[in-house]
Amino acid sequence: MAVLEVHDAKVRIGDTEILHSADLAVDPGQLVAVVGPNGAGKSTLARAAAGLQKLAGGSVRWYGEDISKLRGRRLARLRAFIPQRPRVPEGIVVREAVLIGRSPHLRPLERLGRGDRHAAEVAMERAGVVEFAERRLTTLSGGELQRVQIAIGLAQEAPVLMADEPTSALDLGATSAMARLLRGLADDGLAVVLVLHDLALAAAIADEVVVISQGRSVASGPPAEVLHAERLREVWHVGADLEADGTGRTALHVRWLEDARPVSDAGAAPGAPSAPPH
Amino acid sequence: MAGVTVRMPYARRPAALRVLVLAVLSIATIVAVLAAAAPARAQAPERVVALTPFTANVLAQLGVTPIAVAEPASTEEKLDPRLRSARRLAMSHPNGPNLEQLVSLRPDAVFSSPVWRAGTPKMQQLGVRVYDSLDPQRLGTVPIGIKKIAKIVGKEAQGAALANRVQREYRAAARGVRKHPRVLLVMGLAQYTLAMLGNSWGGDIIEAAGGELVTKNIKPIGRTSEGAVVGNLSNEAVVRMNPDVIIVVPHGAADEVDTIARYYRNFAPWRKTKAARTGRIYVPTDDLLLQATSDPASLIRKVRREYLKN
Amino acid sequence: MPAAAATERPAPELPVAPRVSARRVAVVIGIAVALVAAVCASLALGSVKVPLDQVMDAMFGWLTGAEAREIDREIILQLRLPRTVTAIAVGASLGVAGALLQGSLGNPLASPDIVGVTGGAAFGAMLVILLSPGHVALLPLSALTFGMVAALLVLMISWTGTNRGGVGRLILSGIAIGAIFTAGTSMLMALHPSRAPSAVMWLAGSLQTEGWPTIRSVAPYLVVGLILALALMRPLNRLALGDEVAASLGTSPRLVRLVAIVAAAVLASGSAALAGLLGFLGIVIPHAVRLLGGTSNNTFVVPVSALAGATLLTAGDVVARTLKAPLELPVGPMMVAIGVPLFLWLLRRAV
Repeated sequence: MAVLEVHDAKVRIGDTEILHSADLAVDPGQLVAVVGPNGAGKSTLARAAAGLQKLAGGSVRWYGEDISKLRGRRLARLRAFIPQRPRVPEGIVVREAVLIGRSPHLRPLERLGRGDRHAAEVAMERAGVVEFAERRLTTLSGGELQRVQIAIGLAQEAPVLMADEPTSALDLGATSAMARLLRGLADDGLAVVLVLHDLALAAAIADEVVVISQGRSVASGPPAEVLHAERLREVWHVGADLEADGTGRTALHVRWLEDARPVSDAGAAPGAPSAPPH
Repeated sequence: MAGVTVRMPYARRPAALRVLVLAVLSIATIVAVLAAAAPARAQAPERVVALTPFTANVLAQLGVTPIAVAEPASTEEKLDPRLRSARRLAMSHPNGPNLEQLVSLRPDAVFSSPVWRAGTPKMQQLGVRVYDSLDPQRLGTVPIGIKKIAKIVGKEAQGAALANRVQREYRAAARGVRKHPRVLLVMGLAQYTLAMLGNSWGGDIIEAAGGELVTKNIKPIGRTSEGAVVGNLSNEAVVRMNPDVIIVVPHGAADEVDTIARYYRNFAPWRKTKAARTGRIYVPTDDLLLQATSDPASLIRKVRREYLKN
Repeated sequence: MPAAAATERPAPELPVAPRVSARRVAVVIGIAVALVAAVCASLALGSVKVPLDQVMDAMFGWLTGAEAREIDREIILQLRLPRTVTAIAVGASLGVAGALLQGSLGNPLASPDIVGVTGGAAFGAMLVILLSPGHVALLPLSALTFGMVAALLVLMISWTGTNRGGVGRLILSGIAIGAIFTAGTSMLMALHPSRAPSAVMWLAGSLQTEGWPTIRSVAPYLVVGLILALALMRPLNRLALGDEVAASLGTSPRLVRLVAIVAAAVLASGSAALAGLLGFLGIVIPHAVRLLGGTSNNTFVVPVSALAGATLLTAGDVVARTLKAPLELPVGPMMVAIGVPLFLWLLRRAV
């Protein structure tokens, strides 16, 4: 049974309908990458699936149960959501932050127990942050912080981990470390849902890719099948080819200077200064 | 040659005598000049405004009718009947009377007080002469205050007589005291105990009435000249001092005397004092114990009769 | 439902960190000792001299059978003891209120002033002092009510419209409502200038109360506020990680903020009802506690702010009563005189 099933999701923020119809499905041990241009609705879809955004239509089901019936701590024990730019509080050290991730397992006035501390240690070790467990969050680098966020999510001991663009602000080395971590988590049996910008990265680590364009999910499947040149042109308005050899080594060959926008946008003269694509 | 008076010719009078005549003539000239000049400086003001009940009543008793007086507050000293015809000026903080109104009266002198001192420089700028430090702050300076006011309006003789009479009267009112109860005099403000100290008008009246002011020896915080005659007294001290009589003067709350009286008679921190236990907590309906009056004698008699019972 | 992968692994040999840091323990013990010392001083010293043996007899006479002199007993049990209790309650409440607001609004400058509570409470007190001085007995109730009304207005305004319940909206509404009530207070003072001195005295802050009756009427509110604060410690920690992570952990950020503001409003209104305006505690105490303990963890900051606030206010009150005995000085400046040098020293040593 799919852990997470999103069907025909609609989301309206203010007066604008951001998502018109989007689908998403995740199985345990699967890493699903949600990709698409800016403003397409990838983050909105992820947040709606996580229960952080109300649906205007469609359904989200966790283990078959409709999300409207799952509240608070119950949902928190099912999924951990890591936002794009989480707040970095002052005066908190890594270990304390990870322990806060145990709260879905604690009743309101219950104290932290040995099991909780152990789970936090395990989470930190898995995310590779034990070395700076006593350091303040404000002293960490971008890559270290992102791994701590993963550790907090892991401390929730939820079967599904969702992350919104976890690598967008990281350098090459940190991105690679994050890629290994996330892929390793999926291999260990977690269901992982990532919103990603980097198509080459998505192709390298994802089992399945879901493409969101203009508020709709337009394709889903293995990266090589989904991210072909035609689709890249259609959705991203770019002339590009994805090369993947199946060993995790991928490359996106882009003809950067090619104007690959649809005909209606290009105007009469090719190469003419263009209006910004919508 | 005995028995013959010889008149000496002028030319042969001694030089000393000439000097003496010259000196006398000079002095006479100087005195004449001074006498001529003096009235120009000490000419008694005719159009006088009195902004305090004390100065208004003293002026009335000196036979001077001010052209205007302050509208009396219900809690203040009553105005002399002779002032019925004087124009009333509405007073408001902090300057006192409406300055335009005041200036339109073209006063020669204005008797003000520290309460309205903020208005003094403004009046002076408009060319009015202002006296705002004449209101006595203590009982002993009442005669002095009377004399100073009298001097300004050119009634020195009457002033001296009035001052002496007032002094005689209040000394008489202070005689024959049989009992000396211990008294605490307080300004009633919320739950604070603002006690009048030994250097205050109220303290002087109590002492003159034969009471023993329990706060007599407490040093004020701040300068007396700046009005530091009250102190925020701790209730611990009130309990320790255990006064026989407590008088609470409600400042600016005359219309609520009954509720205030009930409040202080049941004030928990005072409950163990002799005053509370014997029901001798009094709340006067006027402010006469807070600022100087021109008739201290009747105030002393009232205090003796109603509060100290001596 | 599948169990999380992590718990299926064998327990690794991982070092588990000590439960509490030695530094925090030392801080708590140090402040507790200071509090005990301040309380002893508050009972033994005051506006009048009471011999120590009388103090002991009054306090513990029910144990030892000895009885103190009546007047001394009255002073200790009906004046000094309730006053000490008031100082502890108000100091703790204000320290906690500041910690709650700083934690929930994520703003280090947050204090009860910012959510309009102090302005409302002052207005309520002024209504009694200036409009109806005879009904002084109603003053605590009025301050409490208007403080809560102000907080309610702030919550109503900021929970509507765009970005409902957001921090920026809360702070702006708080400033606006606070300004309205402050203006009201100024108008009242202008209309009744002869009664202004008592208004000024109240505003400067003083722990002079009628004793046990006043405490009894206000204490329930403070207790409620403190209990809410204890329940909010961990939710506030979750909020510190950001609204979205808090939501991911199953917390509603807006709900936590709402309850935190209500609790802070109750604590600050009750404190104003007892002691006037003592804004210094709400802002500075939580910061001082954070600097001392080297942490912003709310499970440390909230309770220790209670202890530290109680200590500082009690100490300040001892000075206010003894410096110019038997006259009393306002407690606000005394507390600031003790607290500011300490705070500056902490800032210099900040780690």
